[in-house]
Amino acid sequence: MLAAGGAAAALASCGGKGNPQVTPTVSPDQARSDAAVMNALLDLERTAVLAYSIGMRRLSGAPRAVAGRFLEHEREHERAVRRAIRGLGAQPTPARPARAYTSGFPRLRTAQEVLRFALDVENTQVSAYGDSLGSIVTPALRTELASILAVEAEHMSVILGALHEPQASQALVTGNAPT
Amino acid sequence: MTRREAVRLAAVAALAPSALPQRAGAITRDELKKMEKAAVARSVSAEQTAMVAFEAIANGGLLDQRTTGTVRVLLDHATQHADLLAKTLESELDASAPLAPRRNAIPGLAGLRGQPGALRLATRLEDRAIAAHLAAVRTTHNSQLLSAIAGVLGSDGQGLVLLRQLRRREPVPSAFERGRP
Repeated sequence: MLAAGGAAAALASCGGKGNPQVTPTVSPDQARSDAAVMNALLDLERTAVLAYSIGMRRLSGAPRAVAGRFLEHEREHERAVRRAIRGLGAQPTPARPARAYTSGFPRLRTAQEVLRFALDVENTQVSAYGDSLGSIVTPALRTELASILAVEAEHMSVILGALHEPQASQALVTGNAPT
Repeated sequence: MTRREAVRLAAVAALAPSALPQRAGAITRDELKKMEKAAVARSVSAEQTAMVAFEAIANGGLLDQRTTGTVRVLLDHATQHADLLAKTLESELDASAPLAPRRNAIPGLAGLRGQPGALRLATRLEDRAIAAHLAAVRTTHNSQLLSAIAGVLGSDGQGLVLLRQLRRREPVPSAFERGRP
């Protein structure tokens, strides 16, 4: 049974080994709500892509290579979020002009400033993905968002290492730590 | 207002209130609740297993000083994760947490002979914990549980980065962290 608007199906599938996974029905209203949350996350991913694209220009050597890999990850996240929104029967919000995202960026003159800003962006994403989990009704989407959250936290750890700071100082990574 | 606050507000503004799914095919609400309890209990168990194994590894004389320090950090985090998830399981789902496993019930732990093997086992346990947490996230819609699991997931991801770096592996090899059951 499919919910209207191409939203997630109501299925009772079995994962085997006594570990069944259930995807409850998602109503059209709930799918629309999920899509709104996902569109907010899409905007954050666009911000992250621009932040790494611009920041990379100030980096060289190993930090530049790392930023390049993280930029690719953020692009993959952006594509995944767009696909998920379409899967909900909704349309991804069109990207705003780049300056709408970058006008709030700090000046990035040194590698240190770029890394601090990247940490800030990742921290914001961890917080937003964490907040979104309680609002998303579609179970498979929650899993997808949680897997992205974990990667943004991993990015934070690598950036903290590049800044010569403890890479895993918190037992709970909520994105609310000062950066 | 800082850029970060603006970004957060934009995200929060889009969060509409939502309710628990009202129908669930042929599965009854009681059955869903049982599955939810079982999934979160597996999350607790994965953290307890990591906690017991990390303690044995840290005290086993297998690691150099720097690596011992890292594993002690992971032990501290796993202990806090297990405690938080167990308490949240009890308070939110009225379910008892499982007992932590004994050392000899953790496959591969007793036979460890050196640092590389110990780090491989530690990585495997973090991977398993992440897979268990993702399964729990799929199964529960309880906001307290989701909030706790989200914080734990981020921390376990960072633990994986430390272990991968100690093993001279790519610290973030994929755009999606799925763990390994």
